[in-house]
Amino acid sequence: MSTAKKGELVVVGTGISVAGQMTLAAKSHIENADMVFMGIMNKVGEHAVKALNPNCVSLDDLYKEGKSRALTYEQMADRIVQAVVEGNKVCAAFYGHAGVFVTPSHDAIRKVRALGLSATMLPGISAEDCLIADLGIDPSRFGCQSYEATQFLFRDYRIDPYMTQIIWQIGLAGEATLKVLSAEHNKPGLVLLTDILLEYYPEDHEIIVYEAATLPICAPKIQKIQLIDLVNTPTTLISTLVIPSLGLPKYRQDRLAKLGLTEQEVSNYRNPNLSEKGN
Amino acid sequence: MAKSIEEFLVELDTNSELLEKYKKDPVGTATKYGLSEEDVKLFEDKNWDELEKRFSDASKAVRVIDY
Repeated sequence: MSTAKKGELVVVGTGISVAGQMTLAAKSHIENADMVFMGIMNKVGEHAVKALNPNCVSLDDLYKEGKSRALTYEQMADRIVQAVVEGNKVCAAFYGHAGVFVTPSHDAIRKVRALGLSATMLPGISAEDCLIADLGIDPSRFGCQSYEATQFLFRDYRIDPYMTQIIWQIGLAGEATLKVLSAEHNKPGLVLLTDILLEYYPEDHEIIVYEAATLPICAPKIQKIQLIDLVNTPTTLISTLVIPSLGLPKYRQDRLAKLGLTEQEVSNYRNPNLSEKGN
Repeated sequence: MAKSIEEFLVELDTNSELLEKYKKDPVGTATKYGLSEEDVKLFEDKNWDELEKRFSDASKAVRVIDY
């Protein structure tokens, strides 16, 4: 029987803010790892992780302007997997939620598992969680559609304007080459996105360009604008677009009837005080 | 020896009592924490752009391909 130490991988998120959104479990896995890979993009966040475990390696050096991010992410995953193959207990720490809009974390887990080794992911606090808190949007209120801007532009998706729309990475909207690391080339994408949104919403529909705060002394950036002004609104690589719902859609009488209900009945159930007053 | 801004920001993000003090008296709290005069000045001037420039790199923020 082999006594060689088997490597394993735990992928954690460190939250959007520099340290305060890191879960106790994530912190513990970082502390107890043989080595930690960091995809954090913030030196203060890196400092917080290094304070927990000095054996840290940044993945950020793999980004290069003009280099395909497809290659960058593949190299990130391979770097993580190699350390696991070498028998290390590896923790990969990504900012936010490590599984939300993160290609290399999922790839690394898939590759490690394919080798018959253990790989798990822990939940973390994503930008969407910050957005919900900062904007006071409960995704259950109207329902929610959440998607990446370029994917939406390129493929045949449908918007339901009665649901809240959360559109990610508008700073790279329409950018196909994957070689750009700035939000300076997204104008054609934003023009097209605006055209599509205008099929569903009026020009003056209020929309929000949002950026979560990363530093505890800074507030989130919340730009409320009219839809028609989206193209001329400054965006960054961490901007997220929020399109508030047009309101709740009408009840489907046919579905209610199949359940033996009427609109009046469900309305009364939802507002018990009103119906009690009527009795 | 002066403490680093990184330490101060991590502490502010994880210690609500310190954050409360900071909100009431940013310069006094930063000075008492042990930041250098130069670093305290950043907080006095509310020079968040400089802080962002020094510590954040949004070009490394994108990490997904899905289209």
